[in-house]
Amino acid sequence: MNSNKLSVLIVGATGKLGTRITKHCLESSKLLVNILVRNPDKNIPLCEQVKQAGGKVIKVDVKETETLKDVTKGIHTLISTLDGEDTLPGQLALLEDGVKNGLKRFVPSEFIVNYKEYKVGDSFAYDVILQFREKLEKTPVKGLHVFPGLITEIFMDWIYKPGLHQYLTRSRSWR
Amino acid sequence: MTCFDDVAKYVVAAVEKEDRVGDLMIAGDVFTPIEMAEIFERVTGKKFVDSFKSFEELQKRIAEEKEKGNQFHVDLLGFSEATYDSRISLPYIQNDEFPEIKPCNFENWLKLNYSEK
Repeated sequence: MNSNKLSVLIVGATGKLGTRITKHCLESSKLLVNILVRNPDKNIPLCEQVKQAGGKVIKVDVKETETLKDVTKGIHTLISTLDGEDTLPGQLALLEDGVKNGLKRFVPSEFIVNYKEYKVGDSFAYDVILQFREKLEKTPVKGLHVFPGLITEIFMDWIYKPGLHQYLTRSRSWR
Repeated sequence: MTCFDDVAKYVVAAVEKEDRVGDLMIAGDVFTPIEMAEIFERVTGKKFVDSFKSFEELQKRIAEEKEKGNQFHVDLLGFSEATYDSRISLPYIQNDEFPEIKPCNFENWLKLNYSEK
């Protein structure tokens, strides 16, 4: 029954965004959901749901890039929600593995404002994203790049931080 | 601006389409900073205080905090500065590609999550 489904691998599936993506993927009749997590104990019910739906729960720390061997075998689409300093080396290792195993599509961990007017070196905030996109575009793996503008939850955390001041006089639209 | 759950819905809807690649630009809401502040104040009852009167004032404050070595403030204010860079604005929105998704706008999101605070 699962053979007609598109096989996806969600990396960082127990994080804030990863959990939500995994849950919505599990509700889809078109997708076979596999997840890659550092600590399955962080969300045991989610891992159980993935297994019950016929998917794999792969326990790996992306910091240990050598352990990522063949995690993309049989996967059509990889969705990365990695965050922090491990994002670039982790995604590069996953991409290398994906190229070797015929991965078709990579959704990198971006989920951010429009960075396309920037070049590597323009802004620290976008360098990791741009560096990975450049590498991805040199491979046969296709990229799906999601731009949601500001993330509401992150923005609200930000404006509630103590000491932060808002600048509200310029009338450009936010997206 | 888009909330986590709507981002996840759009990601999954796009991934369900086997050949959907390239850029996907989505937004739960689009507004000016002033409009955002009005919505925020109306829903939460909190006031935005200590706003900067100009972009130059914000940049001056960043320079002052840098001089004092307050990296935490420099980082936060730097993020604020970055959000006013017109280059980051999405040039188009592709929500219509997935009409079955009805994203939550900022006002409704606030009512659900912040109206008690």
